[in-house]
Amino acid sequence: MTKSFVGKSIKRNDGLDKISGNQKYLDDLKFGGLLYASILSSPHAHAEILNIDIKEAENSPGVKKVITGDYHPHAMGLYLGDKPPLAVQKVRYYGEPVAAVIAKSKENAEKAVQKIKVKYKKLNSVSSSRKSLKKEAPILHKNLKDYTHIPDVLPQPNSNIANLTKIRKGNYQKIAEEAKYVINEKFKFPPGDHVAMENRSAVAEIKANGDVQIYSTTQAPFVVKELLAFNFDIPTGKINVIAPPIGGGFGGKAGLQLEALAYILSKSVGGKPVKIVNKREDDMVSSPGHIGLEADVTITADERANITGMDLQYYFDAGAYADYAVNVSRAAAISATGPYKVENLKCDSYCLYTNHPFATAYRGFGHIELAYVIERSMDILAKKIDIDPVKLRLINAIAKGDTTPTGSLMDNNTGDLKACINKTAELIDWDQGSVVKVDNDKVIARGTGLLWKSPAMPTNTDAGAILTFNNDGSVNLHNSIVEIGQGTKTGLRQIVAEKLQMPLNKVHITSEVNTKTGPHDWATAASRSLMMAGRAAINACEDAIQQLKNTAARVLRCPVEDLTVAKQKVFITDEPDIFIKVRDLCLGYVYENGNAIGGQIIGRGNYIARKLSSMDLKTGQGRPALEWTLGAQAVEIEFNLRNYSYQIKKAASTMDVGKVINPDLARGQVTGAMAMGLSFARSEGFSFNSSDVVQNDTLRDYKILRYGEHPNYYVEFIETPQGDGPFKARGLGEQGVIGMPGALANAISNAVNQEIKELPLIPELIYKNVKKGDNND
Amino acid sequence: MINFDFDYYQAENAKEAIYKYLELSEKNEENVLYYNGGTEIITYARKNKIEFSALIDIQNILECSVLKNNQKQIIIGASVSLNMIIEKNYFPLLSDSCKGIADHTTRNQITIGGNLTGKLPYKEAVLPLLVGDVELKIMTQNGIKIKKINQLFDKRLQLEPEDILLQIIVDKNVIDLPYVQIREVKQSEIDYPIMHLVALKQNDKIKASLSSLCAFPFRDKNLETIINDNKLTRREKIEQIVNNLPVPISSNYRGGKDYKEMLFRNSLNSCLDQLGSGI
Repeated sequence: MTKSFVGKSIKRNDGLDKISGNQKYLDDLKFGGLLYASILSSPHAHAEILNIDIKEAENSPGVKKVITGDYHPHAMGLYLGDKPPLAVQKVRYYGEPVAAVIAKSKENAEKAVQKIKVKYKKLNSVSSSRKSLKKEAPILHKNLKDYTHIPDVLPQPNSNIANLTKIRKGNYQKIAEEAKYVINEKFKFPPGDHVAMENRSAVAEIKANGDVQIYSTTQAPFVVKELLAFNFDIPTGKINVIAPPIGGGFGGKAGLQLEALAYILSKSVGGKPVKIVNKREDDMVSSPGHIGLEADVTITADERANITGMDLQYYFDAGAYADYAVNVSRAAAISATGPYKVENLKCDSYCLYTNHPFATAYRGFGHIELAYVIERSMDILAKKIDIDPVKLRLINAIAKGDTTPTGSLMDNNTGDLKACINKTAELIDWDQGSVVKVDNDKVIARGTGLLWKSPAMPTNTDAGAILTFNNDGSVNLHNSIVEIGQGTKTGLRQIVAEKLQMPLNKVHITSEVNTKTGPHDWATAASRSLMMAGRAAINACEDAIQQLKNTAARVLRCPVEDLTVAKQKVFITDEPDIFIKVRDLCLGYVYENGNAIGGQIIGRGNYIARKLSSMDLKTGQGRPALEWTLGAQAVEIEFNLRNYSYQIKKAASTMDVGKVINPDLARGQVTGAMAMGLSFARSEGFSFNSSDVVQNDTLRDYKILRYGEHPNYYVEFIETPQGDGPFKARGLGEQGVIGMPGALANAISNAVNQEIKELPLIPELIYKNVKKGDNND
Repeated sequence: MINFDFDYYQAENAKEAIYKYLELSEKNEENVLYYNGGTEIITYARKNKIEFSALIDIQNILECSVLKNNQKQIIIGASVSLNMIIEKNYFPLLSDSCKGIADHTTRNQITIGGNLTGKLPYKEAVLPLLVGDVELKIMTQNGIKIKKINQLFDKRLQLEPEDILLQIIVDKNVIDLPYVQIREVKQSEIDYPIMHLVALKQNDKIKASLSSLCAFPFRDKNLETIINDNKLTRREKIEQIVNNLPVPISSNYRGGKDYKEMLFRNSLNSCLDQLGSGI
């Protein structure tokens, strides 16, 4: 009989250190002979740098070196190389790093950086993605045609278009003419920040033999290593990137961040170790945040409320540099329609340069953005048809046999979205009505929103696992998943314990990632870690089991196929009393006379996504998506009609995750994501003045949900097996954010009977909408 | 991190503090500040938004740290924390007005003196003091003076740079009067207000003060005349008050003029509902 370790709420292995404050983050680590950097950033959103005077800073106490953009005036990036580590000739956003001081202490560096004098000539700024397309808009990257980029990204020189992804499916041109119901809507929301608890930091050192060592708060140590090698022409093997556990990433720590700057800083002082730590304000605006969006949506439906087509124009506000944004806009195109059956589709998803802080990945990766637009539109369509919005979603929910926007088939592994919708409706008491009057000033309102997501990643994305043994028979899983608070490592331990039928306390796992000793892994992003590293871990276990059996077969003198590995023993399946302990085999078996055989067992495992293909550049058709997680969410609010304030009372979520590996951790992930989605919609986003300077670059003004502002959370799971997932599981890390903004905005729109089409949902915005609506009536 | 150097002095009494202030100022060290709770000084200095060459800490001055509930008066030292005022609750209107300032942890540190004399324009603790006609005990170069707050407060407390606010003296006649206190925020409760209205009713007259609606806090006699004019209907009162504000309603990142005006009108309505004046 096998013992089950998956499906149980095992406590997370990093839990005790974290709750007791013992977890060491990058800034806690000690380095000998360390120098400290301080960065001067731009006070302007768009300006020419006329002159930088560094004399006084150079003479400041403790200063080793002051550098400006000229030190390494080469553009680099993730998919599109457009950003020098320090601004060259021009600054393109408020907060852009302009100069850096390296000094003996943090105090010395901070004092000196104030003494750098920069003369700027202010330029007109591009203040929105729509405006970036206008003829009169300044072109922010005149050298766009010279930038290097990957083939999937299509920048258009002499414009502000960093990427454009087109999807053409079915007969999208005719849909509008024949439709019974048509809605045309415009939406927008600003870029903002992730507000991860730990600010980004990096330490770089170049050893005498040319080896480069980087410590970084990164979600993507292998990406960092490979991009440093590419951009600085260093042999990849000479670089080692170490990623300690990080205090929250949410996508914001993927790609190349402070590492390139840390590297040139170290280089400028002869390779000595140099550390950069973002202050909160820098982390919010200097380092990248989340993307903004403006969108034009047309949806058509027939007399039975079936959606017949969509025309979606997405204008993403990437900010000053492309970074991950070019792929966020592409991911949003891949999933453009939301989880609905849409046969006819036209989608143009633009990634546009503006003079805003630049955008990188954010939890949901394009999906939280498109879902806001689609889910608001669905409610507007429901009103137009005069149908219950939950019913409209049930009618159009995507299911097995339908095709995605890129034309790929929703296969046997497709989750049961209708079950999710029904369950969520039950959790939120949908049958009690979308608006219920409490008294003259107050109403209870409800809103719903669906979600779907698949990882948007290169088709050859992989993961690896190495399993080594200790002399007590316990195992170590060497993996390259970064601990970002998500709990994947605990799930991986459960998977290994299950596969090896070994007690959990005998399964150990590496906590930091070291690109020299760990197996290759694309990045800890896209909610694919459990799926891919889980599959690799299973593969490594199978390899180890085979090796254990091979040695045991020699000792027990029986066929390999007659053996079973479980309970830390290798035994003959039908005669379990004949066995050898794993601990006596795993480092080589020793006979009584001292002869040793077998050697240590090292399990090797890998996984690479199957059958993914690139998209056709003209029609977007292809198979870029690994697996789809589907779900339904809803909120209940109490709305004050007198001052337009509201409290979020309940938030509900049902997702089809294939198999729940660890129920408590899964609920924790989904609850955290729901909170983040609510916060995103309710109060987050940058506010800009008329010169595109960010006005709320402090946590005093950039409001995230506080402890007392959370609703009660209700989280349920449906388990339609993912055939190729580890123990049938699929990803669930990001998905919980996706439907929340739409659900919240739908509830508010129901409360005030006006269609809210912007974010964040601050009372003043709602008031303005109501007032505008009253004037139109 | 505060990345500039400064001298720190701890004063044992108010006289010593003033002498030190004058001495340092004469030495051409122009940027001398008194230090009380420090929340504003620390956060501004960290961002290089203020500079100073010396701080004189006045928290050890005995008079500044008293909080007494005497027979006829409540004495509140300038160094008493907002949380202490809220917990003791000797003057409920003052407690309520302080409850919205910053968060609980920060209110352990913020002093009432700092709230009244700092750079930030909100000064919410002043509102109950204006309508309560309190007195202020001030140490000046020429010794201690006691003055009515309504004679001293014009946008801010009009003190000489070296003066030290020692105590607030509240006449206990005002503490049990019916009052209204309405604080509106952009969204999060823990935020600066976009309108804070305080009113109490004494001898059948409403006295009111306002913060954050306009550029600075005020109590305005003219507005009080309107609100207490029983020849006017409620609608007329509100209309006239909105049209006779001493300064226009300000618009900023936290709230636009229209929205703030709507909230102000609502608040006036609530105020008149609860204090029972008008029609």
